[in-house]
Amino acid sequence: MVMINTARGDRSLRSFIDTEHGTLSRELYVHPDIFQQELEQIFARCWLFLGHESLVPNPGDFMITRMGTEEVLLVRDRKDHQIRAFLNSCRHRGEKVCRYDQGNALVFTCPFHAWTYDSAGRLVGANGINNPNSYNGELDREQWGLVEVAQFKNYYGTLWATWDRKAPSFEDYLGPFAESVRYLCEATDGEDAGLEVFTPFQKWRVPTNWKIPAFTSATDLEHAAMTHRSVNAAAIGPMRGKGDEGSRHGRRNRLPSVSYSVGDHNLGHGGNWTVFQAPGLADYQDTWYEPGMRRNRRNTRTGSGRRTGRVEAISASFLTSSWTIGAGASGIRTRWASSSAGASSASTRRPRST
Amino acid sequence: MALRIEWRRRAEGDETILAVETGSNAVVKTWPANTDLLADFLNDMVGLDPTAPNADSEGKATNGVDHTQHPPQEWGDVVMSRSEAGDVLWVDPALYWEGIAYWFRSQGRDPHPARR
Repeated sequence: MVMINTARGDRSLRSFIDTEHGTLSRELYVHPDIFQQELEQIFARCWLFLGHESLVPNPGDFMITRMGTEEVLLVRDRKDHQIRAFLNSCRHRGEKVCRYDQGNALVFTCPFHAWTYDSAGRLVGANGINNPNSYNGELDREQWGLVEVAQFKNYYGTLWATWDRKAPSFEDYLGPFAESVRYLCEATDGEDAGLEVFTPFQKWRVPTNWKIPAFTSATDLEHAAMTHRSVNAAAIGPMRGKGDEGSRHGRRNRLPSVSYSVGDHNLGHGGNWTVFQAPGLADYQDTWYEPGMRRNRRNTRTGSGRRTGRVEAISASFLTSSWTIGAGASGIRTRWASSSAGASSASTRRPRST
Repeated sequence: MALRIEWRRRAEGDETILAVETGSNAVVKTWPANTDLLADFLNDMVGLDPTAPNADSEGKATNGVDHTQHPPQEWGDVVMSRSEAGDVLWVDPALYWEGIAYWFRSQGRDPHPARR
């Protein structure tokens, strides 16, 4: 039984949850011991979402992402063009070897003693390494490359990794939800380039526990009317198009669609997704009330709507939740969004038939 | 004939890119360093053709200059060495970052423009 040390004495983890009355303790969200257990039992073992391959399209491209509290260097190798993920920590003294969010590089040099690694994580140099007395003359460069994730998966362009060598394969881990992820990854807005992330993206460090956005908010749709009231009033929030009040956007007619909830409680994850049963983009409703604006709005939204279709796909709720499972501390989590459409709902679009 | 491509330096600004035959350790081709050549060396090296005639710093052929008579160390210390396939074989971090500062950052240039 997992015991948590609290000011009121040791308690079992189950004692924080009152299933009879449907309540749970706030300690679940703030207690450092619980967070530590989550790091060890969830973030160190599960498959975690790192990003999308379109974020590092060129040889030598890199970006920093997170797995739990750990910074991870995602880099496309210059030679074989494969994407790899490494702990952003020098094998010598543990400093960060990459101090930029993203860019393109041939080598990564630790600022402490200049241990230098190539895009495949190999140690290729260090200050003083030519001196026969340095490192006792015993530094075998082959043994001191960057720490690579235990397992890595490029799943239809989305990048996932786990630190656990014994973890099941990515597809086995996802179970029935794998098909949903594949469907989302193959989503299209009618263009040929496929799913991609628009850059530069925005990143926030939000003072809240990772479980708030990942579970509490994602499964509580009723919070939006109040929490997102200001952006709803400006008609740029997640409630836009859901009702007539406050909406200043031309709205599309709804395409025929079917929504599913998919998951496996034994695996501990799942989500909601929507399959649109018609290709292309829906027509606009005539909702704009200012003469001349409706036509202008329709024209401009056609262009942005095509782009938004992609963004919706990458920022769908399960992916957004995955992004946000980058827990920085018990009260900090990181959230990324690729455009202002980052708060959109889960949606996929059936690829256009050819 | 396996080759490696080296960036060597005698002094700041007095720098050369060499093609060196790995087995014999003989220099088979040299290029006087300039920003464009170094940028190529630091990226995909497509412009560094060891079979092309030697050229001076302005790109003119330097007929009759036989650099193969010199061992590679006569061009100074190794800044970075790469295989023909692009692997980074060796880097001296201090010389490398001094070179990046001298040839690129002091001129407002980026050695890796792929994302520009």
